[in-house]
Amino acid sequence: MGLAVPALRTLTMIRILFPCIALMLSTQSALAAPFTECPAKAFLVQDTTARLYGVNLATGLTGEIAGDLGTTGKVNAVGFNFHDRYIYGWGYEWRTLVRFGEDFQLEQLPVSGLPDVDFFVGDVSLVDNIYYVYRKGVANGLYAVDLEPSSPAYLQAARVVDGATLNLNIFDLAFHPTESNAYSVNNNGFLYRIDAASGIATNLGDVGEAGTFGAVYFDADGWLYISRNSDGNIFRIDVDSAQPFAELFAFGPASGNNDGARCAIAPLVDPGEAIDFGDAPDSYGTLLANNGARHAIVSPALRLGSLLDGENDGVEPPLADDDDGIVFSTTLEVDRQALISVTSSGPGLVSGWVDFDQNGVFDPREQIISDRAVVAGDTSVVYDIPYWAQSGATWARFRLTTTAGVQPKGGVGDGEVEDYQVSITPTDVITTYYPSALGWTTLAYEDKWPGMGDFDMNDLVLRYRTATYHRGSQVLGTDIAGEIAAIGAGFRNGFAVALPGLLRAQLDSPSVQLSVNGVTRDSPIDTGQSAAVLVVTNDVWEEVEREPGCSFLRTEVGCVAEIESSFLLSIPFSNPLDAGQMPAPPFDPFIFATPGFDHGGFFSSPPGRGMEIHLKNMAPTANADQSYFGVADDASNPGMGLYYQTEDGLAWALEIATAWNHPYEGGDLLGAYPLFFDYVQSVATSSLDWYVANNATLESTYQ
Amino acid sequence: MNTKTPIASVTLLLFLMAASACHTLGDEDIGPVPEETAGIKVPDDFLFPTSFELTFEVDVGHRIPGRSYAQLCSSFEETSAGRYKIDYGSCVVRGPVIDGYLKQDVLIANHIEGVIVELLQFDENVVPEHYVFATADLRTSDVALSIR
Repeated sequence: MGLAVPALRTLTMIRILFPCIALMLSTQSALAAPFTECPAKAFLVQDTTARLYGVNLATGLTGEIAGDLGTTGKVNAVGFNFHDRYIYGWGYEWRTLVRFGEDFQLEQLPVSGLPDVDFFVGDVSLVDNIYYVYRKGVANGLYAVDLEPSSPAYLQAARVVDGATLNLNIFDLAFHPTESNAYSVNNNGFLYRIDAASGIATNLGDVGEAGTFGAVYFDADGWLYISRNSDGNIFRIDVDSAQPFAELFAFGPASGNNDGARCAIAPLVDPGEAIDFGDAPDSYGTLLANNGARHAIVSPALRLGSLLDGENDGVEPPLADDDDGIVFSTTLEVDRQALISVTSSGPGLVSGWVDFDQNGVFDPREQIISDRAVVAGDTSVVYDIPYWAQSGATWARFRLTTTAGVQPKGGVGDGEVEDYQVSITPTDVITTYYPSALGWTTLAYEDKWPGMGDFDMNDLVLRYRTATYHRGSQVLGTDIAGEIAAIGAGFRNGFAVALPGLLRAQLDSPSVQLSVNGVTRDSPIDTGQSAAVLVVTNDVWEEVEREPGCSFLRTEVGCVAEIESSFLLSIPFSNPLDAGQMPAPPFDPFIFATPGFDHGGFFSSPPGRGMEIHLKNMAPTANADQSYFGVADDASNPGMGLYYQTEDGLAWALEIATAWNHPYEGGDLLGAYPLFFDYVQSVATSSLDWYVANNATLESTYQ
Repeated sequence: MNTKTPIASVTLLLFLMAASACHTLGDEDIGPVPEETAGIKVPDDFLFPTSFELTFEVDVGHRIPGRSYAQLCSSFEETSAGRYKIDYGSCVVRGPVIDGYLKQDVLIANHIEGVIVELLQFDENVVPEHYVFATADLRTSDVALSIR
């Protein structure tokens, strides 16, 4: 009985054979065309005069597909038949099997061998071309109706088991995409696996949710979805789990007199479908497979801010950012209040979470806003940071929707989710930034020291910024962030930062942290000296990839690689410093020769850490070999506090308080920025902004 | 709701501190415009500064005795009369005003043309106070700005 390919047991085989089967069946009925595809949406039939709805199980978004199915009665026990792409069900008006295709008009199919009752539980097996209907009671049971037109038993029903033996309070069932088993959850929340061949049901355990689950579906990955009539909540269950449980997956429509059908080999989301997903790491629930936060995009879209993008699945950071609806009006301090501004496109409910304990998930106690009503425009919201919050970087999630009760994960039928990386500071901390909280200053180095070099100032170009944490008249620590913007050097150079006037012992060494591209590295503290020096990298070329066809990184015309290497140094102090002890930003960032590599003709052997290049008049560290001072073009005079300058006062390193467009390879600084001369001639009393893009010679600077 | 004008509502002191090098080259040091950077001469203590130091002080204890919040930022737009939208990524200082007082030294990049001070209270019904300054005034004057 059944399909001519009973050996079909895998989804792959099903997918391969689908077009062939469709072709075989295409000549069998001229009454109504079958569906042309295996749709991702679920079908929900409900109401006493049957109406058909489409349900997006990922978001719960529901819309009417057909208000008139050609009957005045109910239709129930529906199931999508993968084999011929019709939806089969039970028509109450005629008390018989019915089906419909893409015209959504019912076609009666007289069946022999069934008791004279109505059925509201049924589905079509994917493995065999058989429609199964079930009704409890000793006179009823589980019946198999052959849907294979070429079979001698076509449209004949055979009872698999009587309804006393298979005695379940279920309201729908769904066939697994690759098994011959059907599954359902009874009114008490117990999951059952039903062997369609024997009718034997196995209780797989309590899934934790009770109620009338009138619509039950599978997806291609074998997840079971159950929809509760009373509230429309859609739950997802892993039927293969040793302890299956119902996870709230989406908010669907409350319904009655209903039943669900779905092509179980379809993915949950159509490839071209656009849904708004979150962007935090997936531990917070971002990807669809992890029940990531997601919102259907409807028109007009209810959104946070002005930007809203649609994806087929969540994307973990880094990402293109459409999150612009939440403004953190204040920083976040442990055990204090904070302010945000929420920008909404219309009336809705906002909920929000912050991972205060930084455990990678949004726990219920970390919800800062719950269903806060907002209207179009900006709304200020005050919230509390708990005393147990951990200082440091973490994630926040905000969701806007018209549905109440959303959680950090799961789908909903409108609105938007936005995720933000935020930083929590200790209590009562004031933060100073240089050049600003998210802006960059630029460090530009010439590395031919003690020779003068060509002043293209691009042998190493770093974006750089600092955040320093103050409490009262004391300083708790500082963070330094940076990016490698360009390398125009053939020599190998490392990069480090000294904190002038501070000792290594003043650092909270175990807590000092360096991360590069988000990955924590070994301690950056230079243990070879007593001063506070932190080594970001011994070789900047090791941190980047040379673009094919380019000799350097982002210094030549046509070499336009993206910035790919960023770092973050977190430097807490072992004891708070008096503010007067704290050096001013940018502190003392410097480069040094990578140990073991040649560094030009001024050095008879690789100078390694002995060769340092600092900003003008910044003293070298104890590692520097001061015998190099005065060699070639260097006119340092340590006794007078003069370092890293020529006889004419020129420097090998500049700090420029913006994300500076450096000169192209071999280009001269003055040619690229003509106002630089006026600036130095006036000793920084005119042409103060010589370095901005508007004052650059465009063809001479890297854009 | 607090809608006082800035002049009447707050005492805010902004002090300019001198840039790191304020002397000028004598005429005898200045030759023709060189063709390359290598031809430039500068004093040995000239550090090529591209920012200037500012002391930021908020003293509002007489009218906001509790905890409030202040920030000094450089990117903002006026959305309506007296209402501003601030890019907090441009801030150079952000923090609580405890017992009505805050004071910090900060650095402002030379190319910044204007800054805004925002004073917030942890009350959703209180409108933020904003004070806008041209950095040219801050850089060239040594006057304490006192706003009452």
